[in-house]
Amino acid sequence: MTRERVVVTGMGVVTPLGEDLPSTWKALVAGRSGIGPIRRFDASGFDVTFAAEVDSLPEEDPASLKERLVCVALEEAMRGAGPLTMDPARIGVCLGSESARPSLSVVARRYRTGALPTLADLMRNAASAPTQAVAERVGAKGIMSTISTACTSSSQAVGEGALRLRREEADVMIVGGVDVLVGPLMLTGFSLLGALSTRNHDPSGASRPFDRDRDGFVLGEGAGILVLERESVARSRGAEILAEVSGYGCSSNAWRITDSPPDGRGAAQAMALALQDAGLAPEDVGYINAHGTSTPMNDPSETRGIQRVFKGAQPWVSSTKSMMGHLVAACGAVEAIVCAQAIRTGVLPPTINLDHPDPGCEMRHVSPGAVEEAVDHALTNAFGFGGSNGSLVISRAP
Amino acid sequence: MSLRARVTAVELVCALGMGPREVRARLVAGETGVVPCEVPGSPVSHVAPVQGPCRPNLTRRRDRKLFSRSATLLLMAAQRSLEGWEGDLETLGLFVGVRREPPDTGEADAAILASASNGRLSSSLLATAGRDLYPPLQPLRTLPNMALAHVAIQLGIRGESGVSAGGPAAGVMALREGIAAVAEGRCSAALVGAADSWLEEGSLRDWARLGRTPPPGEAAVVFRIEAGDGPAPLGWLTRGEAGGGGAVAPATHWDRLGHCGVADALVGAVLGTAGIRGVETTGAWAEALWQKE
Repeated sequence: MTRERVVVTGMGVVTPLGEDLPSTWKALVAGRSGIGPIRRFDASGFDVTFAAEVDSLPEEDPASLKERLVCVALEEAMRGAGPLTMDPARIGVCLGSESARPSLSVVARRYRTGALPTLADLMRNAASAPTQAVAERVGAKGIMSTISTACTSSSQAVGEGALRLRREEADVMIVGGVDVLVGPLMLTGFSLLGALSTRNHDPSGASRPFDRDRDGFVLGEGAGILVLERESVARSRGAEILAEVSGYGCSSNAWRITDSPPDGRGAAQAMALALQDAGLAPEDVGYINAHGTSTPMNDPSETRGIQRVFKGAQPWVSSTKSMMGHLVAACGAVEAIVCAQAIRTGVLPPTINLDHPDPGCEMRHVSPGAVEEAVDHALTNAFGFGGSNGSLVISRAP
Repeated sequence: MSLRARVTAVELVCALGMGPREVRARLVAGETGVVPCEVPGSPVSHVAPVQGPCRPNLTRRRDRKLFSRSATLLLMAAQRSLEGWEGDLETLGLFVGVRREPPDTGEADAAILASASNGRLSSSLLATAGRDLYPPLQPLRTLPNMALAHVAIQLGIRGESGVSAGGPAAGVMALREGIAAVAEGRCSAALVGAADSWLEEGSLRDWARLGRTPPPGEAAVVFRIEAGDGPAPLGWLTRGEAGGGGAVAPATHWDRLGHCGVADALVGAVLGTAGIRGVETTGAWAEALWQKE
């Protein structure tokens, strides 16, 4: 049975590099870092003093910031997609998100006064709050869900959205993800875990995926939204088709909570399933946007996984986390958009700071600068704490 | 599209015991799992806890300290659902509905208090005195996908997976995804279900604040789904009526099992006690399952 294609008709992002796709893309291609000293609060006494922040407003709490980011990204995506005039019950939403952590002032008030969180607090901080916000903005009344698999969340949200369109459960799916983690509590927690880079003297050089001297990831934040629809729906309403979501695969490592298996088996399984879903051979893929967190454990494990799947094929590989930091629940969607943009422009964004490639991470790296090369298919990886893996194949618009 | 998947095992852990047969028998016998709440200062008077020791077999014991209550319950149900099953763990899927995150059990209290000065929290104190008391595993313990991660790790499940989070419909959404994954051939089989516990102090506060009236409870439900024909596994799930939040109608088991949060709709589906808006087949499906047993 021939399967109808799922296409992308709208894309929007907010990242530490810019509040829309053109500015983010320009910075990525130029190899500019969005990582710097933390501005949101005084982090001078913390073990880690830098992050990849978006601009926030004074006193903006994480829940409000999340909603603003996702709505800005949504607006850009909807501008591209054009009016959605179909039955609202045929428009669904699937976002990757985690619950918003309360701000320090809210925690302080709770401890000082014993005040219970208000009902509004509970609703605003829920993982599903951004999904609700998007549905309300768009007027979507179709299938709606929130996926919370840490760093894999929005990769799976894009994949699940595509699957729902194939099953004809909706005509349009708004998919993507959002995360805001740069705050005192999360900074303390992740640095105590030893997961963060401590390169305080050189923030822009701190995220160095696949480099011998990498020492951890950089907390980031942002949002990415894609408008997906079946090709026939997009064509019938005259929408511009930007790309195709052609494959999706996911797996569990069943290994450890924080580490990936050194042989990269879970990652390989997700990539192989995504290729199989897309009906592609490894040599068809020209570019991989790696998860590439810059942690000592992830990068060689992912490399093994890529080598297991791609063997003799030599796709270009880069990690844009070297510039954007780790957007956690938002990274999968944002990096899927990066793949679509790479296919559309014929430019592959680089991994920066790859000064001394780790011999254990030997691949065909896009580094030190962007590479001009036309590719028809790109693959993007997202691997989460707890061992959730997700891979997407993004293809040239049909 | 027409889905072909069947339920080959159903497991349930709740206030009236383990396994649908035991729970149903005790329900029929008129027993209740609702007891007075003994948490000092609790804003709710009655709760429905799982009784007795909850000690799942662990292959990685060091992870025990990371387990939330709902993860423990989910693992127990998942272990029971795989007893005697000899399928392929590499292609076994795992889809779980969870609440927004494991509840705050006060582990970070000492760090927060040490970071306070004159009743106000200070980021500079958090960076010093608070930091030394902050539980390093806290960020991991509070990720919503930890219940799934623990089950995958402890049982060696490596197929497709997903975590639906949020409101009461999250368990139903997970079941829906799992059924589709099996029916579409993306998994050879799948464990799908939900787990939730509202019995920690922080959750009891949230329960009261949400204005919920049934006694808060806890439960885990796991369905083992395999390809093929069998009792129609909630065929209504393929049609989308359960999409969105708030799909769950009042269920008659609340006075005996409490409200089991994200797991509640699936508890009702297993026991045939829940109605789900727009769905008439749930009870019939449950009856078919009982007849099969």
